[in-house]
Amino acid sequence: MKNKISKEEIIKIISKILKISPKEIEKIDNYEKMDSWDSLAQLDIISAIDKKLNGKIGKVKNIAEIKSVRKLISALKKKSLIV
Amino acid sequence: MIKVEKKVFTPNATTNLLVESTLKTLKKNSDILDLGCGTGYVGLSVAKKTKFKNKYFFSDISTQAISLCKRNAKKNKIKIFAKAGTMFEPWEGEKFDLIIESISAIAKKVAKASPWYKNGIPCDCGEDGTELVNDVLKVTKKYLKKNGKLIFPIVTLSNKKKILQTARKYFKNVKLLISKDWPLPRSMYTKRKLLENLKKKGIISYKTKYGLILYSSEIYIAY
Repeated sequence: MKNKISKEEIIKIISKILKISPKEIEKIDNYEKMDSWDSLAQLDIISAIDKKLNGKIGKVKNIAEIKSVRKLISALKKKSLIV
Repeated sequence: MIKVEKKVFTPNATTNLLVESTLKTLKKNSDILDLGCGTGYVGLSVAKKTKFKNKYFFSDISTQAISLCKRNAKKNKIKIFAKAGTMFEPWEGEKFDLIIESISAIAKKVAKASPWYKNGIPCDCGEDGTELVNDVLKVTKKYLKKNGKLIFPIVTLSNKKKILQTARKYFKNVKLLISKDWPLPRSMYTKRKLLENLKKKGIISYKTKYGLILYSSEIYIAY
């Protein structure tokens, strides 16, 4: 399980930081449409996921440009970082 | 609840670090000065959260800020003494146990490119952001009681090295209390070249991580 993260863990992280239920997170999908999203929340989300991945998130180019949960999961999948 | 106004600096993330640091520093009932108070957020938040019975003094160069600060205090039922004036000018002959300095300290060109100083909010702190804060550091001791302390922030969008040099020249002890990284507002990414130039000249410092530009707020205590 090392250096990998599950979709559920990602949604749990985002849900905790943005204080929105996991269901809503999946429904809305786009961070920028969530009221509690801002650049600081974005940094916290990326940092928390990176911690789980033991610093491997750098494999995904332009990670800060990704604003959709689905796209984030897909990008991590492409780099074999999803369980 | 603290009300904000267009022409008065809006409390930001660094402001919250100042509140946190002050609460950790307080060990007894104290006379506290919030210098460059703006809305009064720092002092009023401390007043609401601390268990100590402190006396609160506020000052700001802007009369509009002082008026707003007084209204915020009234709304929160906190007794304060507030005066408008430059730096320590309203407090000649007074001494405090704790001075919280929250005046502007951002390099001029960065301030101009930022969303923080719009609508005539003053940020006249020089090319490297150190002018006002260094002037304050030079004279603060005169306004501190025996064993009094100064809490001040350094945002790395100013010349941190120069501010620390001044602080260490005028205070025996200068210690870092809290440091936190923040992402630069997206609207400032178009000014990347300007930021790179200022960084090269040693005027500001920042790092890039995950494709984001991160600057730091550091809160120091001096005594």
